[in-house]
Amino acid sequence: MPDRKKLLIVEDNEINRALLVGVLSSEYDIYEAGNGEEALKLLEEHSEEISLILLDIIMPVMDGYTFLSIVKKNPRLYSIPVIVTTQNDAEADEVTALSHGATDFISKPYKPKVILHRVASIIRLRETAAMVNLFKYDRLTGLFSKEYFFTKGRELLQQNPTKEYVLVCSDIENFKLTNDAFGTQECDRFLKGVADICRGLLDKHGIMGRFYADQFVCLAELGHFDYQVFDQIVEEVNSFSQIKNISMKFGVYIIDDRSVSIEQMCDRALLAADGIKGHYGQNYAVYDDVLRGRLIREQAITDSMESALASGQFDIHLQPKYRVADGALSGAEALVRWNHPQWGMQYPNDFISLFEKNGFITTLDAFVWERACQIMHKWDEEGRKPLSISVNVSRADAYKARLPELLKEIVDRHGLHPERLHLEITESAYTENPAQIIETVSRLRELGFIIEMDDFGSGYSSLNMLNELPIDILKLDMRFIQSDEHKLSKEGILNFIMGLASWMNLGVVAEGVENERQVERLRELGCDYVQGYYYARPMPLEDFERIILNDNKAKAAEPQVNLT
Amino acid sequence: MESFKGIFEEYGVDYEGTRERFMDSAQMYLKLLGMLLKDENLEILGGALEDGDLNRAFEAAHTLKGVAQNMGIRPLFEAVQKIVEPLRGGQQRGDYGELYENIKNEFGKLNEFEEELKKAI
Repeated sequence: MPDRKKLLIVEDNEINRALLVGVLSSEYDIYEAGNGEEALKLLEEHSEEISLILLDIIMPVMDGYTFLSIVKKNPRLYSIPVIVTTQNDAEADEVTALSHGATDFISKPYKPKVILHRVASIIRLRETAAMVNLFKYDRLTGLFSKEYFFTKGRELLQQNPTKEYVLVCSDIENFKLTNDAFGTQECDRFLKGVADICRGLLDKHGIMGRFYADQFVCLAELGHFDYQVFDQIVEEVNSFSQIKNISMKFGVYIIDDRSVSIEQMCDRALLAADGIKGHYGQNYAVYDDVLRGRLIREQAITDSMESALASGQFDIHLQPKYRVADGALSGAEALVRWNHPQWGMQYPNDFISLFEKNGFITTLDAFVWERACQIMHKWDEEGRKPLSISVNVSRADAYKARLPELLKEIVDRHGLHPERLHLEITESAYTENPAQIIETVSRLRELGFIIEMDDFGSGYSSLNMLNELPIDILKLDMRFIQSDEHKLSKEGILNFIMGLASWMNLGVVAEGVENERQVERLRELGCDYVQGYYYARPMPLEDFERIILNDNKAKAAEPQVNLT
Repeated sequence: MESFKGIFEEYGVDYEGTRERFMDSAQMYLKLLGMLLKDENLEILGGALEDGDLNRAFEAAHTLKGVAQNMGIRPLFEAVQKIVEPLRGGQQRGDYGELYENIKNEFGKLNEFEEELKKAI
């Protein structure tokens, strides 16, 4: 049975009080007070339990209005509804009571049914209001929730049309990693702490809210705003928390265009914050025209990407891969290109990260796989050497359950052995959710596909994990050693990786090879394959086919080299 | 509370409204009637009027009025009401004494009222 609710009846006249108690005790538990002072004492002790106060306005010792004012000024008590009891001919009393903050009044002589109804409905109203507060405020930090922040923000801007404001959004880099490493409880504590710090520094002349996990937002007056506050926040955050090296980025949008919706303003601020992710030492960035241009461009890309694909604006270029030992052409890497009618040739940097964000990447990848298979089938028909083409498998694809079946279907349809389509998966895709990827990739290998780990060295693999990874080839980016050839430590790393690869029986492809010296080095270390500008840039199909031809002619002319 | 009906009518007490207010509980009515008869406000009213303390007199009268109304005792209620309004405004009048006597009279009748009700249970 649910607990009975409790009321406080403040009435100096015993008879009246007894009558009220008589009426209400059938439904509620009652605390009684004969005057305001007694009532306040009871409230001190029991404020948490009391759902409603019935108050006689005309009382000795402390009159009803005084009591009411005191209650309404006390943060612990002011939300308890107060029903004032009055004489039925005292309208002035009623109005005064209401203006002092009373929620309602009931007049003498008492009408029990009316009293019970009023009490019940006011208690219910208050509880509903409390629930609405839950939606208004983020439970963890006490800041405004996203929707309520937008509402309050709009209000604030509307009410102050001439004041200048800034909108600040913050984002914590790699928060998900932090969450995984430290656990939810520690992270919640951390977020609360961050909220308090931000609130202390930013809140005074504006409003603050919390979006999602680690994003905070603040609308503040430009005049009261100081860019130094960001350094302060980052410093304080790093010193209070167990979690170290917190990288918090702030995006600032100076509100100069009131016609933009507040949601869009937040998007702009977030975009600015996004732009400095990974920039060590820079805590904040201001949204400006450069970013505006980027936003517009991104919108244009998103609007046209589907039709662009349908109308054949996308294609693949091929970059040749060579065997280090004898310089023979061994295959190609497929790189997507967008031949845009207005903008000209677009390279992956221009659109891949956007497609990864909006999900179009999986459609584009599927197109690339089809195209690569189409090309290899064509070569087979033309009787050319059965070269392999390696294609990219994005993070989004790698986590698809039916990926192996999908890829098998494509190669089968083009009459190709899976071995021909090399699959490049980036290292960081593995580290996110190893168990799942390992399963998918294992199935792919069972089906006969060859797996290349792309950008090896850019992720966070543990040695143990490497041991478990079902891969065939490591792809190494030469940026590892090309910047500073005198640095022994970097050379050491290259040695180490080669040793590792050999020990794990993996082939190694070196990418981004730019000069003869690098090739020599790689040959010494036993690297298997190379690709890079030293050899050839990615090129359209016709150009690549010419290379195949030349390679064949060259091979025909030379004596065969025995490589065993 | 049915048994009270006749007695109420005799003393000019409102039966229907009072019955509702007391949720038909004869016991509760008698209990509160007992409390009324011991209530100090009548004396306080008298004393305040003698002292010329009109504020205090008003408070006492105001309380009595509310109680009389809750108890449904119309004659008492009307007698008190006649004194409450002028007292509320702080009016200086010569007939407060007379008005007070009326109230005392009505009060006096309540003893008999109570006796009869007790017999009727």
